[in-house]
Amino acid sequence: MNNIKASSNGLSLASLIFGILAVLGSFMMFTTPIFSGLAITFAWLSRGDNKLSNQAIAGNILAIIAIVISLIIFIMLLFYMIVWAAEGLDALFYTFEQLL
Amino acid sequence: MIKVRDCKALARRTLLGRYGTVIGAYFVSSLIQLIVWLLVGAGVVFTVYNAGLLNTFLPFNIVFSFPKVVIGVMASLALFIAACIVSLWFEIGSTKLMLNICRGMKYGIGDVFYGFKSGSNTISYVLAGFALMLIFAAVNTVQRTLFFVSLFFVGEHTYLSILVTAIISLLCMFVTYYLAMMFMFAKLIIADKPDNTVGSAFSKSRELMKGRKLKGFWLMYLSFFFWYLLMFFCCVSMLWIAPYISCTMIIFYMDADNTLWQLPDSGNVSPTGSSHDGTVPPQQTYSETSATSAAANVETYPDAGQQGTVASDTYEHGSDIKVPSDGTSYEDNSQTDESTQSAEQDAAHDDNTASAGDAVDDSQAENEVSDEAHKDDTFSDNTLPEEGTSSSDNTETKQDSWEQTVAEMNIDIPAGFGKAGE
Repeated sequence: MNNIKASSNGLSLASLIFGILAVLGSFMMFTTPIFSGLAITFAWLSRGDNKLSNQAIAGNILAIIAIVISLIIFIMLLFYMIVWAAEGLDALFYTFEQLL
Repeated sequence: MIKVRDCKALARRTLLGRYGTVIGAYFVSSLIQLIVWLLVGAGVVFTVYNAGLLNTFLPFNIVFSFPKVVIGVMASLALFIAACIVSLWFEIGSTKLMLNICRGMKYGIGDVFYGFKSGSNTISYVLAGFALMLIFAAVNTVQRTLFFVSLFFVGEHTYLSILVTAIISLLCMFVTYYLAMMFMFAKLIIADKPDNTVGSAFSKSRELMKGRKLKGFWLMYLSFFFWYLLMFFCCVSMLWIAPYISCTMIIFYMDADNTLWQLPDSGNVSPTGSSHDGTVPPQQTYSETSATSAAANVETYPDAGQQGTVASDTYEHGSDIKVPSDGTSYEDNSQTDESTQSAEQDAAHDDNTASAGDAVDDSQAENEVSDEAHKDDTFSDNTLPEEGTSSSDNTETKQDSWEQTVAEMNIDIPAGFGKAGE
């Protein structure tokens, strides 16, 4: 039973650590799936047949926050790229008009 | 029948404290399989290269060489079949490892090489794997044939053709999943009971899955949807999730096989003293947690008098149990911390004397069986708990888990059977 508790605690702690890493790395979007995925996996596997521990809940929440931050940054980047591309097209059309 | 939620909870609990071994085993087997499949890839690249199909990507031209292409194709095919067989070998090894864990037997990373040690069993497993592949391929072929036949009657690119195609696809999908569920345990049975042939494994799987197909489908495909998604986005987490899914499937199989009592941490005592086929299983009574139980020595279930709960609860691991000659109750002579046990014993004391005579005889017989089983085997991990830490937790958790697992088995227990007395 001690072994089970130790393992559960270890997984919860790992979930918390990976949750923190996910939030810290959420500005580099490519690390988010790895760290968040691990944080969520460890959190849910740590519970065994009991409820989630506080550490696991914290890890889960941090992972979700990291995913949300990454998604926001991704959408902003996408929006910026579309706008930039549109401006670039406008400039291109203007150049063609001048040439013609 | 066990609930899906309970099945998954039991799997998570069973794997706690055992992830190191399981992940190590999965990592080793995956690495070797990766190498074998890379060899297959190298064979394919060799063939494509000598066929001159890569000329557009190369700074120089390769002239088509028929002998080399033939050699490449043959080698690729041979390597592909070899890789399939090696994968199935490691699959049986991984299955055996998980079965050993779930049955509370000795386990280790070396279990993944079980396929290389057991000859006929592995051949049966490989044959069963190919048979399943053939069945699904046959259904797929029927689907395609029906699709092409339907084109003759309803034409192409019409609403009717779309409707017919959808109906055929749905029908064949249903048949595929029905067959997949029916033979879900076939390979597992071969890995679990080596004396089974391929045919008997398929027929046993069919019997075991009667009335469980929908639950099996829900368990294996839908309830793990979130986990599959997680594996897709974070491949590393596969190392933890794959054993979890595998363990859940094995617990589902053990429930169908009426051997769920063998799970570690669930007390490991057969409610009937025998396995589903009436024989006393050799690996009946111990596990890592039984070792912890050995420290606690006595497990008490206060609700033992109620219907559907475990009555043969007070047993000892590796020590002599003393049963009073009058058979009315028996005494806890173990080294358990009495302060943690006393409250439950007091509660059970009031009504534990009636109808306990037969019960004690039965439990004594069980203990003799379990003691014999102990003598022959060794613990896989016999770390004992720290003093005074686990007895109360053990009692509560085991009571819950035992009730949870055994209540599903619908076992009739005599009232007042096996209650702890003074």
